[in-house]
Amino acid sequence: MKRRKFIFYFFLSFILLLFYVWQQIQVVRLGYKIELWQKEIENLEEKNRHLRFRIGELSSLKYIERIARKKLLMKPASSEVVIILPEP
Amino acid sequence: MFKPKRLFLCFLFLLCVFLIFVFRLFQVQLFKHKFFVRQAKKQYLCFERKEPLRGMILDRNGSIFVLSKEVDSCAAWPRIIKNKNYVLKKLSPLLGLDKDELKSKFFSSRLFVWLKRKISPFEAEKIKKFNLAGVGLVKESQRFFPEGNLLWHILGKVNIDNYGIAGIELAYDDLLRGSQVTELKGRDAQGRKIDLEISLQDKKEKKAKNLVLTIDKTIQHIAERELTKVYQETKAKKAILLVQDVTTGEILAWVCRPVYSEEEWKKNPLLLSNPGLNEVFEPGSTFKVFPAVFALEEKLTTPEERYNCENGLFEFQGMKIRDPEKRGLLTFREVLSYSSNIGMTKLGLRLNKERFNQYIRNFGFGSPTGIGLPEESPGIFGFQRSPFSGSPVFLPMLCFGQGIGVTAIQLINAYSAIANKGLLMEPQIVKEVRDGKGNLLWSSSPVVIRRVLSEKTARILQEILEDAVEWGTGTEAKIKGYRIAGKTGTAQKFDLVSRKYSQTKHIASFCGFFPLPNPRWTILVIFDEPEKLSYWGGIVAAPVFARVAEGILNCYKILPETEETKYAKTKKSS
Repeated sequence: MKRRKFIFYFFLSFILLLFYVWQQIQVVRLGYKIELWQKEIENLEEKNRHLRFRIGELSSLKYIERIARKKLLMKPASSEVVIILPEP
Repeated sequence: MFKPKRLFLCFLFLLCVFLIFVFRLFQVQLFKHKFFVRQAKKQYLCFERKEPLRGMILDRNGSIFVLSKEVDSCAAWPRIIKNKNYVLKKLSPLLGLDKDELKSKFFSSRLFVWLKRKISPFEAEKIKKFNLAGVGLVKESQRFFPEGNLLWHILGKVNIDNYGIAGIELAYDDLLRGSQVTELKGRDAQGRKIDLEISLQDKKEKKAKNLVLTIDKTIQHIAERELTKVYQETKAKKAILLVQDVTTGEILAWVCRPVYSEEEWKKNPLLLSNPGLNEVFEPGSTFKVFPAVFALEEKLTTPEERYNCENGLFEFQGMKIRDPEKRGLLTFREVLSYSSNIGMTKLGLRLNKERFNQYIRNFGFGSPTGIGLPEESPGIFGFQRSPFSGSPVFLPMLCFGQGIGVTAIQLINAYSAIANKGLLMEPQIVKEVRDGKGNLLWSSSPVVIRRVLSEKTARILQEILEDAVEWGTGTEAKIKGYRIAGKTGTAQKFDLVSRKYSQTKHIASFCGFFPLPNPRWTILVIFDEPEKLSYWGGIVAAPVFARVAEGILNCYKILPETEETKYAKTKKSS
C-alpha cells in the first residue's frame, strides 16, 4: 500500500514538473511570437505613415492646381456666379 | 579476487572526486551565486530603447502639414571593421564624404560612430548590397512635408536629433516629442529577441501628441499663390500676408516671403525667424485708424467735421508734411478715406498724450499678443523708446503711423477688434491637441482680451473704412458685389545710418475686413521695399487683398449682392 502511494505521488510530481517545464517553454515561444508580431505592427505603422504622406502629397493644392492647369487645361474660377432657378 | 585495500583506495578516490564536485557546486550555487546570475542576465537580457516618432501637425480640417517617417542612417562599429582602407574606399564616394573625415571616424577608439545620418533610400540600398562587416544601417526618424514649403515660417524646423528649433516645432516641442520608451527583452543564443512584457519607462511617460492648427490649407494656398506672384513682380525685399477670423481670433493663413533652402538656413539659423511675428515696422497710414478711434470715442471729432488739408503741404514745427494729393477742406471721414497726413496731423494736436498712449496699448501695441509662438516681439512703442518722443511733432507723426514700430500680428489683431464690434480677441494658432489615435485631448476656445472701443464707434469706423475702399485710396481692394472695408498704408522706412526717413525705401500695406455689415475675416498684406510696379499700398497691396478675399468668399460659397443674385433669391423663395 505504502509503495503504491509512493509511486502515485512520484508520478504526480513528475507530471506537475513536466507541466511547469511545458509552461516555461510556451512562455518563451509566445515571447518569440509577440516580438515578431510587434515588428509586424511597426512595419505596418510605418507603411501607414508612408501612405498618409503620399495622400498628403497627392491632395496638395499646389499639385492639384498643376494637374488642373496643365493636364485638364482648366482655369481659375471666376467671380461670376451662376444660379440655376427652379422650373416654373 | 579484489583485495580490500585496493577497493578502499578506489572508494577513497571516488569520494574525493565526489567531494570536489560538491565543493564546486557549493561554490557556484552559493558563494558565487550573484556573480553567475549577473553573467546570465547580461547574456540573456537586453534593453531596447525606442525614440517615439514625433507627432503630426495638421490643418484645421485634418490635412497633414508635417509627419515623421523612419529613415536609415549609416553607422559604423570601428572595432569590428577588419579591412578599414577597403571599406573607406567603397564608402567615401557612395556617401559623398571626405576620405579624411571617414578615416578619422574609422580609426577612432569609439565603439560606435555615425557616418552619415538620415541618408536617401538609394544610398541605404547600396550600403545593404555592399554588406560590409562593421558598417550598417540604423533606423531614425525624419520630418516630411507633403505640402512642400506651405506654411514654412510657422511650422518651423527640427535639428538632427529631432528637437524643435523654430516655429511650432519649438513652441510645442514638449507635446510633439513624447518620451523615450525602454523595454527589457530576452535574447537567445542566435540573438533573436523575446518579448518579456517588461517596460521600464518612467511613470510620467508621455506619448507624442498631434497638433491641429487653426490654419485652413485652402486659404493658405490661395494666400501663398497671390502673395508670391506680386512679391516676385515687385522684387520686394520681404512680403507678409495674414488672414484672421474676426470673431474667434484664429489665424487662417500666414504667409511670409522669402523662404530659404535647407543649405541657407543651416548656415544661418536666423533665417528661420518669422517676420510677421518678430520684425517690427512703421505701419504708416494703416495706423491712422487708431487715433481716429480714440478721437471718436473721446468725442474730440465727428465724421463730418471739416479739416483744412492745406492743398497738400503743411509746415509744422520745422517739418514739412505732405499729402499724396492736393486737397483743401475735407471731412474727417474724407481725411481717413483719402489718407490725408495733414488732416491727421491736425487731429493729433488735439490728443491727450497719456490717454492716447493708454488707448494704443489697449489695442495690444507695445506688448506680445500671446499667440504662443516663439520670439514674439512686443514692438517699439512708448513715448520713452521712440527716437522722436521728445519732439512736439511726435504725437502728430504717430497719427499717420510714423514713430511707432508694430508687428504684423499686432496690426491685424487690432483691426480685427474694429471688425468684431470693439472686442479685442487673443490670436490663436493651435486649435486642438490630439493623441496618436486621434482622440481629442485639448481644444482652444475664443478668448476676449478686452473691449477697446464701443460698438457705435466700431460701426462708424467700419463705414469710413468702407468709403476708403469705395472711393478713397483703397479702390483696388474692391470686389464686385461685396462690401469691403480697409485702409492703405505707404510708410517711408527710417534709415538708421543717416537718421532720416528714406525717400526711396517704403513699406506698402493694406489691411481690411469683409464682408460688411458682419465681417468675418481680416486680411493684412505688407510689402517691404517693393522696387518694381509701385511702392504705394493702394496699388501693390490692395489688389492682393482683393484676390485673396475673393478666394475666401468662393471657398465659403458666400454669394455677391448683385441685382442678379437678389432677383434669383426672390425667385427661389417664391
